[in-house]
Amino acid sequence: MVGYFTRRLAAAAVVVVLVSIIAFAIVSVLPGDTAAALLGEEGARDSQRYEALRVELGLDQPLVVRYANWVANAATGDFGRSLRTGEDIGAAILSRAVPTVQLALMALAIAIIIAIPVGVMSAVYYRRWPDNLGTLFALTALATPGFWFGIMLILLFSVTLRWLPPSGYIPFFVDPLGSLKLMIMPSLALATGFTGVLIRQVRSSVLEVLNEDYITTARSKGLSRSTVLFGHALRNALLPVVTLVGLQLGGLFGGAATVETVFSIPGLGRLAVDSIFYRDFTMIQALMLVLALSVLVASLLTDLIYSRIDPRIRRG
Amino acid sequence: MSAALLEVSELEVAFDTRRGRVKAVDGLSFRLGKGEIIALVGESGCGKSVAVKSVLKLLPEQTARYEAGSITLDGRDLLGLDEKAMEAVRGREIALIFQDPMSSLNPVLTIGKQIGEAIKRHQGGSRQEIAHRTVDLLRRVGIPAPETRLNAYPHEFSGGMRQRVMIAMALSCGPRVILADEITTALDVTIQAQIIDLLKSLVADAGAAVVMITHDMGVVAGAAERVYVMYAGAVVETATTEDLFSRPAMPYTWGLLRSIPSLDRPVHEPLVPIEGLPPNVALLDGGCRFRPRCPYRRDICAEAEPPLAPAPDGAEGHLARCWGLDPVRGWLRDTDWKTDLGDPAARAQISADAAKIKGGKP
Repeated sequence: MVGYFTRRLAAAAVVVVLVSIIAFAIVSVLPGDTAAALLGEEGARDSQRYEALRVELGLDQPLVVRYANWVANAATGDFGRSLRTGEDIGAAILSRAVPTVQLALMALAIAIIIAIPVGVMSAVYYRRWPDNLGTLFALTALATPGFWFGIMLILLFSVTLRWLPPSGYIPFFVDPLGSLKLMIMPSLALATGFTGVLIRQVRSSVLEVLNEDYITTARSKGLSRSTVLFGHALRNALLPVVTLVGLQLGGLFGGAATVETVFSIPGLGRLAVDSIFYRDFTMIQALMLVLALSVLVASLLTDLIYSRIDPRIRRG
Repeated sequence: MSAALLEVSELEVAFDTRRGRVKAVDGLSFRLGKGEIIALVGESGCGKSVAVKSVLKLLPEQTARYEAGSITLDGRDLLGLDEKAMEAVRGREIALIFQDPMSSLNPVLTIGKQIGEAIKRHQGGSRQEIAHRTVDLLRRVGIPAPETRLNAYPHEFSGGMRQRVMIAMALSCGPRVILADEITTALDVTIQAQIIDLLKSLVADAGAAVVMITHDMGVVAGAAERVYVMYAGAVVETATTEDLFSRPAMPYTWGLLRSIPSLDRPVHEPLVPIEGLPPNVALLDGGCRFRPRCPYRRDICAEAEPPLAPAPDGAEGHLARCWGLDPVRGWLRDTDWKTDLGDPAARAQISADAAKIKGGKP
């Protein structure tokens, strides 16, 4: 178990190094450099100021040295300053990450809470009306764009019914109830597509497991249908589901960008969108690294959970 | 024959498929006495496994149909029982051991849990009692250091050991009938005999009766007291094991026996396979079901299905389904099956037909 996890960590470390190189390289190969971007078109013509800034930013040094410096600083949480706002990038990302993580986790929880019962029901009532209903629901969710669904939710619950505030953000630890009220619609919007995928996965995976020999064995022992379903089938069926959740977690962070824009949530997604619009290279660089890291952490967690469920993995 | 413990009579089971209803079991009858070991023998696809699952009503409810016949355990009609009542029968009175020990144990549960839950379901008891009984069962089936193996997972066992676990599981609640579905097929030859011997000694101790389902005549000869030869969903011959091996009555059984390699036969003598392929049960036409592959066939075989009638040797309980054995018109009553392989032209025709089917166009 320990050996397995160490190996996974080593593999993740390799990925982090590769991602950092790519993130760094993308910004470095862009036309113009950070100094030019900071000074603007006019300012860059003043070669004295331009050169001085280049020296100040370390841009006069060879690429390898710059990369080493960047990585060394990044490792201590120092990503430099934003070209756009001048704020400290590490601090900016940290403060923006909180709403996004809350949003993603809530969306994940919603998706799981809906998808497992619906998927299991679909599989148990295979090709009968509950299955058809579940399948219709799943495909509808799958085909609904999250941002559009978000707007519809605002129309219904904020504009017409006036039950929920339409947009904004309150940190969870400041006002838990208010925070949940604000986040419930964005989470639903973010969860739509994922819920659809998850229902389909749960359904097909339960269906497959129900045809396994060990299910017949369990039934031949005289266990009731529900014991067989929940005691024997579900745990096996959840293995591929856990994998899917882990893989999709990265997608949730990505999808958060549009939902955060619709609901005016100051999260990572919006930060990324804004930074791209303003060519805030240093910020984009740091964001790429952080997002890649979060996907890696998610996949490590997935493996950890997976190995808890499936004893065959533990020995690795 | 002792009083029947488990009796299946004229059982017909069909499946709803996209091409209509297909009979998998077509008039199966057998009786199992107390403590007896019988064997159902036949090629793949002859309906053996469906027959076993139908006894415990484990067939998929949405497609399987019990069309006729009855299954009684000690005089109690199992087909009339509802699901709840069947659950009380499964594992407690009739237990099942499956073909493939690799896939018939749940990979994510410990074997202690998997054996223990049957005991818990039927007999209850504290966790310690159940664990104690499980260890005892594992010891009886020959698992070394059973106390430490209780928390092991199926993948930590070899195939033979897993089959021992399956046997322990089947024996856990002291069933009166054990259905053993091809239990040696997935095992190494060296392990097969061990498992059969283990099963035999354990059921003898427990006084349980066994229905062995197999295609392996060696297993039959070594374990069963009575044999039912199945072909395309129906019994075509039944006899005591000794009678069946010494005086097989009908051509399908002859074919099965001729295709067993034997050490006493001269090396240069080739094995004689049964020509052709098992029939598609959806396409049976009312004549003898073995006729398309039978090198001794005559016109009458196409006209009607022969009944299960007393075999020419007159031994008690020796029945066979073949027009050639008819006391009046039978042309096979005095055939020496070891030397007479039937009509060579018919044999050639059968293998030509089979080649055509394999080629794609049925």
